[in-house]
Amino acid sequence: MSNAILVVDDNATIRHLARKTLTGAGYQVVEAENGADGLECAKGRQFGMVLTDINMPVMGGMDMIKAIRGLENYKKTPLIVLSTESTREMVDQGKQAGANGWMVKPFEPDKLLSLVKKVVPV
Amino acid sequence: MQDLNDIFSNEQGPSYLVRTGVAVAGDSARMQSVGAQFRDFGLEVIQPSLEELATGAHSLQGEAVALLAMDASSSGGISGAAEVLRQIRQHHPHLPALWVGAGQEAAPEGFEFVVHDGDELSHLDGLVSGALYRQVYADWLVDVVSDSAIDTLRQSFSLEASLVDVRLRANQWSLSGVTALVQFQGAGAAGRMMVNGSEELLSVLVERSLGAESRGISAAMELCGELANQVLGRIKGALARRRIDLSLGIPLVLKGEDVVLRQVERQPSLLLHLASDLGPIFVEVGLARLAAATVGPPAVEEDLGMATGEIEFFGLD
Repeated sequence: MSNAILVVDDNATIRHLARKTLTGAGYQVVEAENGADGLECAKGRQFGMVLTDINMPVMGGMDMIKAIRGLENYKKTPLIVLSTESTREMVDQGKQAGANGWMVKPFEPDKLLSLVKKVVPV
Repeated sequence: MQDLNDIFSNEQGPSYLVRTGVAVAGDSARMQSVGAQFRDFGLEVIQPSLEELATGAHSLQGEAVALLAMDASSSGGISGAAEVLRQIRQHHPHLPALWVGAGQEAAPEGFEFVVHDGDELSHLDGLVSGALYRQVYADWLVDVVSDSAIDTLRQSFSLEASLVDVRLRANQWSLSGVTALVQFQGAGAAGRMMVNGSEELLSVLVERSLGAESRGISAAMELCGELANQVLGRIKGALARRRIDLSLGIPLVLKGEDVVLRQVERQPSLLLHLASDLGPIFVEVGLARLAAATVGPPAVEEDLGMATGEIEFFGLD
C-alpha cells in the first residue's frame, strides 16, 4: 500500500498543517486545492489515503468522495473527511458518499496521526 | 416562513418585535439634533406622543422601536419625566430609555442611558448600538457567536480572547487589516459572517501554527479565512442543536487599509469586539433571515452532531 496521502483543502493553512503533521511521521503528502484538483490527482496516481475538506470551490468534498469512490482503484482506499462541518446530517451524508471517517476541525496533530496510522502504515 | 423583522425570540423574556429604530419624543432643537444623529447611524426614527405611550394608546406594535429618547421639554421637566417613564414602562416594560440632558443634568430615575448637549456623535453611536443589540438579536445568539470565536481562537490558534463590547452595525463600516467574509444560507436562516484582525496579529497566529518560515500577508490571509471558517463551523453546529440548518459558503478574504463593507441586509449586523494580548479581533454576524418558528431551546438528548476535534471512524470495507 502506498504511504502517499492526498490532502484536499482550499485553505493553505490547513494543507500546510496537515503536511507538517504527516510528513513529520514519514508520510508523503500531495496537496490539492479543491475537489476537482483532488479527483485529477487521484486519477493520476494511487494514494494510500485521501484526507479532504467538504466546503470547497469548484467541486466540494462530498462530490469528490463519490467520484473517487467510483474509480476502479479506489474502491477500498481510506477516504477521511477533515471539516468544520459537524452536524449529524452532514456526517451521515459523508458516510453514504463513501467516506471511512470524519474529523471535525480544528484537528490535534496527534489525533490525526493516530487515525492515519490506523489505516495507512508508514 | 417568518422574517426576522417580524419576530424576535428571547428566552429570558417575552417575545419582542424586532426593533431597528428609536422613538424620539418632542421636537425641541435638542431632540431634533438627537433624531438626526440616530438617522445618521442608519436607524429609523419615529416621534410618538408621550401621552399615548403612557396610556398604552400607542402600542408600538409594528413600529421599529428599540429605544425611547426624552428630554425635559418633552416630558414636563425633570421631575415629570420619571413619572412619565414609569407609566410608559407599564405598557413597554423592556423598552430602554435615553435621557437627553442639558449641560451636565443628571438623568431622572429609571433612565438607563444619558447623553448631554455637545456629546460626540461617536458616543451616541456606541451608546445606541450597545443598547439596541439585545432588542434585535437574542442573547443566546450573542453567546453562540462569542463562544464560537473565543473557543476557536483558543483551541486552534492558542490565543486567549475575551468579549469586551457588542454593538449593532446598521451602516457601512470602513475596515483596515485582513477581513474574511463567509455567506451562509439554509431553510432556517441566511446571512453572512465576518472576521477581522490586523495583519500583525494574524502573522503571529501563523507563526504559532506553522512556524516562522510561513509568515507573510498571503499566509495571514489564508489563516483569517480558516479562522472564519472554523468560527462559522462552530456557529453552525450550535444552531443545528436548535434545529436551524445552514449551508456554509467559501470564505472571501480581503486586505486593505480602507475596506468599506456596505450593509446589504435590512437587518443590522451584530458586531462583537474581542480583546486579546495581540490586539482586537472583530466578529460580525448579519442575519438577513431567520425562521423564528424553528428557533427553540437547544436539544441536549438527541445526537445532532460531533464536537470540534472529535473523530468518528466508520471502518474500512
